[in-house]
Amino acid sequence: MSPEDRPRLVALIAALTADTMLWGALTFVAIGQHDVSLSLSALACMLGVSVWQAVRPGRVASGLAALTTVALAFGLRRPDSLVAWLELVVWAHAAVASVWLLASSRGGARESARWSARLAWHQATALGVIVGGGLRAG
Amino acid sequence: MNTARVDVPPGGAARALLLLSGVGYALGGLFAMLLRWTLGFPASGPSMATYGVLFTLHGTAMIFFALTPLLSGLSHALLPRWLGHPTMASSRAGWASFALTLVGLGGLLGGLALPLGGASTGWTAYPPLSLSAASPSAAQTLFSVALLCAGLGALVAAVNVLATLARGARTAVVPLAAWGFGLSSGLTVLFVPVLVAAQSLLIADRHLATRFFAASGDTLRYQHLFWIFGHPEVYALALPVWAMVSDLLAEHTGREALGRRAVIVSFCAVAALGSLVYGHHLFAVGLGPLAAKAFMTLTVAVSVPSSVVVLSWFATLWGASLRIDAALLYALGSIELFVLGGLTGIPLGAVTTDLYLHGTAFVVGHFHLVMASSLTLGLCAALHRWFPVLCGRALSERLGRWHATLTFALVHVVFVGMLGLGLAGVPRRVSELTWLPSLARYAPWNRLLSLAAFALGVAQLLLAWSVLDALRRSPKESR
Repeated sequence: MSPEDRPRLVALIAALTADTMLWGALTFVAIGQHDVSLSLSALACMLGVSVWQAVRPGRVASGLAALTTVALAFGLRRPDSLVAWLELVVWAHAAVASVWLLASSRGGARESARWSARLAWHQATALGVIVGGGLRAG
Repeated sequence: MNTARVDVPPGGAARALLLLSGVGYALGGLFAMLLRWTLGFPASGPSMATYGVLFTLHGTAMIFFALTPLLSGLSHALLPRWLGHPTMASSRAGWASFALTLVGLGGLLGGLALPLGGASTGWTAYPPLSLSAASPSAAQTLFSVALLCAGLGALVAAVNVLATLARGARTAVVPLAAWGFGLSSGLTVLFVPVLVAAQSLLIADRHLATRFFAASGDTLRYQHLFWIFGHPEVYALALPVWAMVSDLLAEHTGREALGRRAVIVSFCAVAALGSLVYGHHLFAVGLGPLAAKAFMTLTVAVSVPSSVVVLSWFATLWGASLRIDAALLYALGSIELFVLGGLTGIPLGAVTTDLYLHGTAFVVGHFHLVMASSLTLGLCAALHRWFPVLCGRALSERLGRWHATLTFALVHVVFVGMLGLGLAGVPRRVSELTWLPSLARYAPWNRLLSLAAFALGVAQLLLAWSVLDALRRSPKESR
């Protein structure tokens, strides 16, 4: 990595971490309606997996597979609740966000715009699911 | 130790953030004076309802619109100089941070103009008090929007600081303050998003009929989120100030901060441990014995690396021939107040004593000794040291000495007085003590503290005058 790339990568990792924390906190509340320890472990996994993906972009696919497996494992514990779907959506969001951030840093404007659109769609979906959970609880 | 190797003028965004923090301090100070008027002279002061609005605005203005933009401004002004680069990694990010913080301040103050008055839930905005049923005013929503904007502003500035640090240093010596700002930015990136999430869900509960924190939901969940952010925020504000104090002592003694490497490790340890101790704010809600013990142990553990920093300060000063100027007076005052504030934090970190003290004025005295007194004096030290770099003019040495001395003396009267009242059982967030006969006898003490607080407020005009006078003079006239 050239010295010129370093500030951009650090900014991307910082933005990704902040984004993951934001969505982690939202998930914490959504899942916390059922199980706080589950949401805390979800938070830790999301952060770890996302940062790892950002640092080692070559292993994004395996990272995605790993987190999906873990999410399913958690979700299977509560098949009757919204928890599994919430986790899947939000965890996948974190994965997509990291890929997007890396792609937008390397690709051209068109690629960046495409990933931005996907991320926007994904964030809207995740937020919709979480707010939907809140409404359902109401 | 010469840490200023490259002459880089501060950018416009840095100056704008510093100016905004000046406005934040003035507003927060004004609200504090009105608060003390109510507490000291309840018959003639603002009403009890207004009191709730005042302490909400005071705390919020000081944390989000005074301390935070001041540190962002200082980091954006000084980091390029310390690292030997012409600018920050992104000049737009600095302006974005300023704009977001400004919008937040507008939202906070805009609530005052609404029919039902401003937000009155305290800076924590705990539900169910902050939900629509208890706080129907739109000002409460604006309050959440204000925190959201200020949080995002701090976040953008923090990302910019980290990216700037990632460029590496072209200077021979990187000051400890660069470490302080880096760790502070790391904490901001990690924990401010949690506040943003909490406020977003609170707004959803108020306006979308969701039940994240509403009565049928779990109101404690909000408290968890708030303090997951809130406690690391203390260290995000404190670490750069401690680091700048270390640098100042090194400059004044003409030698490197003693145990520099140990101090850096201690800063990292404080940041790491400080991220794990938020639960001590929730002892009173009944966390359960295991969680309470874990949080208590971690809280007390923070005092170990903090003590290493204090020992380094003492060791750096030991036997040195000191040139006592205003900046050093501020720094020495900041150290004493940090030690005092830190010691009064120990009983609040222990479950048994916290349960007694939690709802009392002791807590107010403790965090004002750390946040309002120690950090502010440390920042005044940095301001005196770096004002010539920021504005090309020096602050008045004479006014600085008077301001440092008066502020140091008066914060002891006001905030140590609050510790005493708290130990006697005087509750916080209560404007009139006459409602309980057993507390009425403390009303005269409250009056005395209010008079001291007014004197403290007047003393701040010395600093304001010093800054305005320096700005009015041309650089040539400046000392």
